[in-house]
Amino acid sequence: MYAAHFTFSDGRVTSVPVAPGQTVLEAAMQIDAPIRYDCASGECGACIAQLTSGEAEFDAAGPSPISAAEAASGLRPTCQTRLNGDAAFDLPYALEPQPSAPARHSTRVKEVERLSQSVYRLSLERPEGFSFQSGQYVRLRPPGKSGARIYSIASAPADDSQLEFLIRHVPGGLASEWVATAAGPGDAVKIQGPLGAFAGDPRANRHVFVVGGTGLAPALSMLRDMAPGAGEVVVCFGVTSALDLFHVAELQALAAAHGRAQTRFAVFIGEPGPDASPGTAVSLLKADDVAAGSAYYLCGPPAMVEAARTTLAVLGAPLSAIRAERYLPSA
Amino acid sequence: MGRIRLCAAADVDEGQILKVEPEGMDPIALCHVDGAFLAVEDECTHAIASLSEGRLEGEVIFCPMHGGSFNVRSGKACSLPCKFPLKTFKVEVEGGDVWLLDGAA
Repeated sequence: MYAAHFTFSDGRVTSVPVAPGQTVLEAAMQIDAPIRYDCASGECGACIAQLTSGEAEFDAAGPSPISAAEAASGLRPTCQTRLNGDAAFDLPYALEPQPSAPARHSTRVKEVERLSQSVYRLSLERPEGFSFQSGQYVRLRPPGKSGARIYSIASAPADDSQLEFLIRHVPGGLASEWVATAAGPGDAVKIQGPLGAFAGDPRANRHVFVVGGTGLAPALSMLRDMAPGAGEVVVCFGVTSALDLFHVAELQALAAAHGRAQTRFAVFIGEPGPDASPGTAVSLLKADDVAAGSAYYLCGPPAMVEAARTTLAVLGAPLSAIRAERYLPSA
Repeated sequence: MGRIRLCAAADVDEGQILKVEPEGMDPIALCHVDGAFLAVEDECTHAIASLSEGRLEGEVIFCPMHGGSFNVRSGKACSLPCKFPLKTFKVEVEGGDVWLLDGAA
């Protein structure tokens, strides 16, 4: 039997006995260790940990949620990792305050609001006993459907009046079509969660967000949760066209509450309008955004995430300071 | 409440799964395995997914979402990420129809 030692971002630790041949996640699930996961099959990336020492064999044969560069830097999906000896891992989230265990909850729609040409704000009643950390997501099933889609929570963990989501309308989409055309207050929905390991880094004194479209949701939750003075904040927010832009005033107000904060907006196609410049979330990054003590949060379509990672690396940001949540569009 | 008719036995071929939605109940996945009918709750205990949209291999049903599996006779989870068992239901075949008996087995 080997030991996997985990250190959470708040400095707390836990250990899991791992049998030879067993995956680290299987071992953690066996003793109900507070290690987060979702698919347990190498797709979602929720169980990723940073290997800091020891012998860990990475099962790279099948599909993997991480890139070759990330694997080389020691990132490991624990569902695809087996041990040849004791090993130590860092987890990207804090142990405390612990989110509620992922579970299915029945709840109702409070409000639906169209924020832009393509994006809706969906507010649900927050179910009894549901608590989460900023950055987490839920799986949501609209009424009368057998399938579900995943959405990051945009509201703050302390907001017990609602759970808020940003939903991009994919025509014909299982959940977004319902949001755009049919959803209304009182509709019964089912959610499963909270899920996911994307989280703010409490050790950083600068927080740089590079977000595209509805990828703003987890960043919003983190910004709303951050105490004023928690550090400098930079938000680079990109959308496709000026008609897709939303939450400009809300972001500017949130940033102002932090004092040392900058918000930048980019529009990729057509006239950018008064608040934005032409380009992408990545092109809004400046050389002096990269500095020691920073955490970088990338959230949006995979191409944006990869472009941001490349740009940040060129500017000198260490891979270990970069956190990513990839948004895979799904009908 | 007595028994509830789910479907005709001929509605589910050997090796197939049928989703049945008895009134006032959560959906049931009815599986035809080796000449027997086995009924379990249709919703995977891991995520939000309909098991009847998955596939059946012998007594084992595979979830279409993450590929986790359950034994449809015992309800027990067989592979990750599924961990918690499915509810199972008693059924009987009579007069060419499949009937759900009272409550969970």
